[in-house]
Amino acid sequence: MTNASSQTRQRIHRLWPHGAVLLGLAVLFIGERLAGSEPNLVTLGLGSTFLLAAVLARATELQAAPRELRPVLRRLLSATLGVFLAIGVYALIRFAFPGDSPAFERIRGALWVLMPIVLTVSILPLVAIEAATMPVAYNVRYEEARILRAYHRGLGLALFLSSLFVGNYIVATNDEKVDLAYGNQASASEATRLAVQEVTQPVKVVLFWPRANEVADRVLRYFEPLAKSNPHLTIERVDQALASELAQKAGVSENGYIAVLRENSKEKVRIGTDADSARSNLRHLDKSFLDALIKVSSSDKVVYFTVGHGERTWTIDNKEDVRPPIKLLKRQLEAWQYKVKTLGVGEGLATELPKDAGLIFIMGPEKPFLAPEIETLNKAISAGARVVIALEAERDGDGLEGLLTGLGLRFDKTILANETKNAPLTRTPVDNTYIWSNKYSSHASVTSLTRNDRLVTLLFKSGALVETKPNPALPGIKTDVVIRAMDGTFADLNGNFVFDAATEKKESWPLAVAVTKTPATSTKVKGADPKKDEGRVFVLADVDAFSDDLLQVSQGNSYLLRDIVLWLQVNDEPVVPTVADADKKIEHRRADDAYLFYGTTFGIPALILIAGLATVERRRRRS
Amino acid sequence: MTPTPSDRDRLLDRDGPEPQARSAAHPSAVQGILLIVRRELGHYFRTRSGYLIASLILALYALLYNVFAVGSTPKYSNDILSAFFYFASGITIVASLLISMRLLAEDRQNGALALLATSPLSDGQVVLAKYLSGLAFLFIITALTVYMPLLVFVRGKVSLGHLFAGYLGVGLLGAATMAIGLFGSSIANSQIVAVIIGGVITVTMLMLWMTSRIVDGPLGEVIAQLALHDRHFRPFMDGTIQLSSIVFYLSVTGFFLLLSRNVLEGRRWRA
Repeated sequence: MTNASSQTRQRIHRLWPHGAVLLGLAVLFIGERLAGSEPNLVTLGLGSTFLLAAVLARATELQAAPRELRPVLRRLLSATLGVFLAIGVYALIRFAFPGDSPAFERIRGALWVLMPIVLTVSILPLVAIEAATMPVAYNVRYEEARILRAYHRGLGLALFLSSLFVGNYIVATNDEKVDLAYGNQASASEATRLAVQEVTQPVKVVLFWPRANEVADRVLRYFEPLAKSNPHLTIERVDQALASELAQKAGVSENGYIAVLRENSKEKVRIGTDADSARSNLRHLDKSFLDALIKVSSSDKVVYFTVGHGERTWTIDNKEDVRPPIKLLKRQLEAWQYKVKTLGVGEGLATELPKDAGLIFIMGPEKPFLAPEIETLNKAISAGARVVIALEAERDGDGLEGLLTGLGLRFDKTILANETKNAPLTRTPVDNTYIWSNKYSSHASVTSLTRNDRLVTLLFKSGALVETKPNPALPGIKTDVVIRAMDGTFADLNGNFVFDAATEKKESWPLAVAVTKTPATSTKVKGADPKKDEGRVFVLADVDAFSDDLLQVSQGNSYLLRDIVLWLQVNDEPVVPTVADADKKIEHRRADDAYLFYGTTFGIPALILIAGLATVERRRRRS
Repeated sequence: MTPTPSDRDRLLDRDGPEPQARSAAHPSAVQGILLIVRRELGHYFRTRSGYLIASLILALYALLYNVFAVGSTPKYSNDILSAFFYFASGITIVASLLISMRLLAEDRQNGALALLATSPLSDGQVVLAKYLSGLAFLFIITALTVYMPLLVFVRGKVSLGHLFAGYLGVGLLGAATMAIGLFGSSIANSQIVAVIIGGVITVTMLMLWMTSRIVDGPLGEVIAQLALHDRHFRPFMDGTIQLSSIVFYLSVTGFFLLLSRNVLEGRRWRA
């Protein structure tokens, strides 16, 4: 009898509106996944109908219910209505604010945040009420206190979840990272960040990786902050197999590559798809990307090397010329996509410099420059030219005196020597003139060397630069000594390679000077960037620093070259390339490895176990 | 004359003992939580099994460190450290699930949960105390492993910041997994079921990064953000502290602790 009555008894509230809510949400979800970016009216209409039916069912149920059931039924109605409202917000996102206008994008962004919050705040209380009702669903009355408490717990949880969602969203969009690893490999170096900020034309970085690849994730983590820092840099991740046209354009035939594209220039960096094999390439990711970026952004720039004054060149025409050539320097500049040309009187050195002159190198001239040539160079520097002057102390001739005077400098050709801080190449006293230095200033043109002062710059038989009063005819000149000789360096006046206390003096002689010339006119123009128009000259006391002999043996000299080129090329400070290889590989020694293996795997855990057991035993005895 | 609130209390016999005596009879919430934490930790360190578990976990750590992180080929210190934290994350996940499975389920099995329910502590405080005790044990074991990455100092170059970032990541991941495990323990009647529930939730959250790869658009991005390990742990492993990952792990921890409290409270009502 009792069984029969319980079988015929009605459920305290209807179950099917819950089913309608679920069905409506499922239809909308399927529609969203199938439609992609296009709004799907059919599924939205169908889903909304299901939800509307659920709302109406709850409303009629509430109207017909006796008074004691109403508090719970009212909450069921409000929660169901909440789900319907969430779908209304979704409809607004899809239909009311189409297009790419920034205002609509902002509204859509806000609604995308609002929609899941409304949905969560409605669904969770609904689930909580149903979970609390289910064991006593066929009673005549609700256990009101218990069900309302469950409702409030559900609502509280939903609000907590919503606040977590909003909090995580805000933090994720304004994320902060601190890279504490040795060599800062996981994120871009300051040099790369600044180089990216300097990009003024669209540069596209395409990452060719298959889906679900951990190497790709790491590469993406590296690029995401860079893309945020400059809208001209865009990042796209594609599967090479699925983006054949783009792969062909980038010249990429398999996955595991980064392609850097700008107009018709392209560069690619191979990383790999397998985590273990890609590890080594990832270590140099920052350097490789920076090189690629320099290449694509300087592909239309030209470097001019002055000729006609006995300068160093990359070809040795005269067999009697024993000076080391600068073949590696040329090759490196070409690797950075510079076109290398010569600049003589025929090309306008005595009248007007070529318009495409990105950089001008004056490499150890032995014969004097003509007055019109000096005048042209001075004019060019005033107009914002970027020049490298490397001097020669060993040879006669004072070819650049006029130019240096204009920059507030004088070149003292007395050979510098140091009895302790030198490169022992011949094991004779002449080694004292093969000096090195790691006394760098904090100037932008040598910042990477400042940060990594274990890298030394080698100089062979260098002279010294002396700062003089700038020429009043050239206002706006600013000189910074960026490399000084090590303590104990002396000007070897008598040429005997050893220090003579009576006549010679030990000093930190200036070896390299960075000169900037601020144009007088640009500062007056409102909104003009004086840095973009300023002339920059880097003066080095020894041309040998960039000769093949030293560039191939001294890492410090290579870094100096890159620092200088970046400083001359970009319009900001400071430049800090990474030195990822500062970390060193750990070599294995059989005997040590055995000790370490057994000691760590068995020794220490065994010690802890023995100590623990002894403590437990002692405690047991005491008690 | 209207009676004052204190008169009313006296009339209704609500004044109770003197404040000092009351505090001795009913410890404050913090004292109560610490009492449970101490009792739980004592359970680990006053028994042989606690030390056995700690040394076994350490041995496993060391084995993975020597075989996979250090390996037999020359490697950069950074790579060794990253690999160490990668394996440490796996061990931490498993260890925290195993530690958390007994926290509430065992008490329910042997009837101690009913006793706890009669204590002056609220459900939230009981959950917090149980959670902190498990977390403290996990952190002690994790802290004992510090000699392994420090060995890299002997022959390589390691930044202390990388060590800090790695252990911070391991700690946060352990805290989140412990909260998930505690939730499993709060809804299950046996420890085995508890670890299965905790394991299923953890594995699901671990695998979300794979799901995100096959789901396009904003939903894929949301799913990727919810993945427990991939996007959030790897930066720590490589020596980068990422604010969004810290917030994510704290959110997961907070959410599952709240869920556990709700479950405990719900079960009390049902009982």
